[in-house]
Amino acid sequence: MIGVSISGMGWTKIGELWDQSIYDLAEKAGRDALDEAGMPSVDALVVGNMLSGSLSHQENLGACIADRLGITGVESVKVEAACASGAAAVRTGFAMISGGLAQHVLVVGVEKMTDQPPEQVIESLAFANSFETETIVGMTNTSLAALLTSMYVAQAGATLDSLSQFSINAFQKSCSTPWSMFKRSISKEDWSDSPIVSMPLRLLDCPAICDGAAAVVLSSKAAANPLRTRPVEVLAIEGCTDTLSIFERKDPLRFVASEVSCQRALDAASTSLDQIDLFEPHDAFPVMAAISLEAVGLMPVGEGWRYYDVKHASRRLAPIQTLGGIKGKGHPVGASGVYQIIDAVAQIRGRAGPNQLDDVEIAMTQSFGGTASNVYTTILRAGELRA
Amino acid sequence: MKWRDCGIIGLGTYIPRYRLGSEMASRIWGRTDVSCSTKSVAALDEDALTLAVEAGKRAVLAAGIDPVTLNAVWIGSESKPYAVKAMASTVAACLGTSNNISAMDIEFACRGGIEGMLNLARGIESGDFECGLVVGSDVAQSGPADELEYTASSAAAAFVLGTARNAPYVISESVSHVTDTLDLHRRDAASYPAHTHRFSGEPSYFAHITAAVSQFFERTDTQPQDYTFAVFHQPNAKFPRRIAEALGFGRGQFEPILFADQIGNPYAANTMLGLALALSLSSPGDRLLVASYGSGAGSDCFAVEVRDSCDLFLQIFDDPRSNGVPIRDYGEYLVQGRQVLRGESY
Repeated sequence: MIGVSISGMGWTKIGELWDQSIYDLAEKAGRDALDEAGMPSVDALVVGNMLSGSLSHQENLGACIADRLGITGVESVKVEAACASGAAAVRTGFAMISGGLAQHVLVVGVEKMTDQPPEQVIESLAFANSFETETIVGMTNTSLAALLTSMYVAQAGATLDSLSQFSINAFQKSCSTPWSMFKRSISKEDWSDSPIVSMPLRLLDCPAICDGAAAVVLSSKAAANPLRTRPVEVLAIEGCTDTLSIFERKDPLRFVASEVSCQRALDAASTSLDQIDLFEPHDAFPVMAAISLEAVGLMPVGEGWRYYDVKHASRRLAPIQTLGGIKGKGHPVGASGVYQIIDAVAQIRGRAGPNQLDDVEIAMTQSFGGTASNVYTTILRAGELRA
Repeated sequence: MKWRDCGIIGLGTYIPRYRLGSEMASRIWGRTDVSCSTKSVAALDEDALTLAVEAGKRAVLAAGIDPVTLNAVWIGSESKPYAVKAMASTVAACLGTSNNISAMDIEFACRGGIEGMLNLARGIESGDFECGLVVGSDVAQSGPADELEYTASSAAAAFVLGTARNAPYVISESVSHVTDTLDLHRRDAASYPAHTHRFSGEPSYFAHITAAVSQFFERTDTQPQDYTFAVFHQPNAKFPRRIAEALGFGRGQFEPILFADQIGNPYAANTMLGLALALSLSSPGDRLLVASYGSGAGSDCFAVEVRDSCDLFLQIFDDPRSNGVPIRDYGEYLVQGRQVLRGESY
């Protein structure tokens, strides 16, 4: 199979970007990625996005963003997989190159969430879930995560205090991440003082409504213009689905799609979990991060919530949320999967600032659509510098 | 700094006596994230017009003038009882002015009264008017269960302006910063305003006030330390604190003027009420900075200098920080606030 590398990256800061439209965001990230790759155009453009139709009155983003970037004439498509849209877009670009249909693909993950009132945003985010069985009875993404958290507490013995560490650590790490929305760490008291949004989830357990765009240029290894400091190869990106409704699963506390996509990715990358130097989970809610740690095998089943309780004592446990995760950076949903890859690439390239880890060779990211009903796992590796 | 030949020669405030505690509405609607505060609620038989008349009467009384000498009656409000029928003419009639006056209503959300005040100052300085009355008055609308229910309140503040010659408080030049920004707004025939949540913050309130104040500092070559008090439009308790600190003011300059936790946000009366409160706390030689904000959007910045000690404040001055009569239950609030009408609407 043809190897795939990252030739260029671009991103906007994540935040309430009042002055920037969905077009502005995508253009900035896309153009910066093309500039870094040293390419005026590519063979194909893939746009990852979930909410453009409902929040920006705009679909056909493939043509739209190609037009805005001035690269019309290329093949272009919008890919949607709820909050995993960005990762799904990377998968699509990866497949195009691996299959020999393109040498260079620009992937742009973009989301503009702040142009509509919160009620409309929340209603649109719920499109990720089962309308027939969940949304129609008033469930939202937050209330589903809250129910799952309650189940996790009741059945796995998880404690809210331990789960709060996923939020607290995320905000601590995000302070120095250039593309992060949140630059202020929180204490345990800040967390416990924050109001209940959906029992038992507090405001500081929930992801922020925000805007952002992140882009990568994927290239075949042979044609890749290696990133100036250090090449990064996309070894594998694999997806898996599960039942749409979490309540139709045999065990709602087991994320099968997370398990399977991770295993597929490890197999495709010919590597194993013990080779992974860092893992960026889908930590939009603490319970999602905790259970995904169990699913990928980093924590025993039923004990993902104890990650931060045991992390300090275990050097072998891969670091997570290294640049703030989704929780600390902000969650522009369709772009988040690409931002996770940007985080991982920053670590591999040695550009993670105060949160730089030592000797990152292989990084793994995982992006969830819905309640882990559509999951993509990406494995990246530091490439070799060409002579 | 250029001081206009115009000053405040009388002022009056009127704040309805009823208070709605935030815990009452939040309990009814199941909110757990609302901080503790009260807001003033107009009684069943009050509206922006009656409030304006009362505040206007007090201002004229405080000025010690014959209302016949008023050349202008200008009312800023976003809760006019009539979409078409000026409040100003009714207020003028109630006060007993002559018929040869400039009378108009001004709408620019919460800065309507201030916009009126600054233009009246220009009219007096130019010699077109000798003295005039400007009022900011609102019985602000908010729908049940809406976020605005906790802050949208009722009050009126009125100033009589005359030439600076005998005025204890003199008004400076001003800067206005206006953009076409759709934050809080209310469509024609809509009962309640639509607000735009977090868009009302950074790109609206903060952007416009920052621009107006910064430009005013530059034009007048002044800085925060040159002012005794800083009066900001206060839609809630947080925003004025944030903007004041961001602009470089110390707590002693803005905390004494804050009243949002006591009476909420009475819209067009807001900044004028803050100015009245600041004047009541001032001494000769003090300089006050005033920054308004009105959705839609715009901000004005000007200064007021205290030239003379003066008792323009009668015993019936309504202090926005003082307590009122607690409303006993949410149902009483719905009735007093005319959210629930008995029989035919009136």
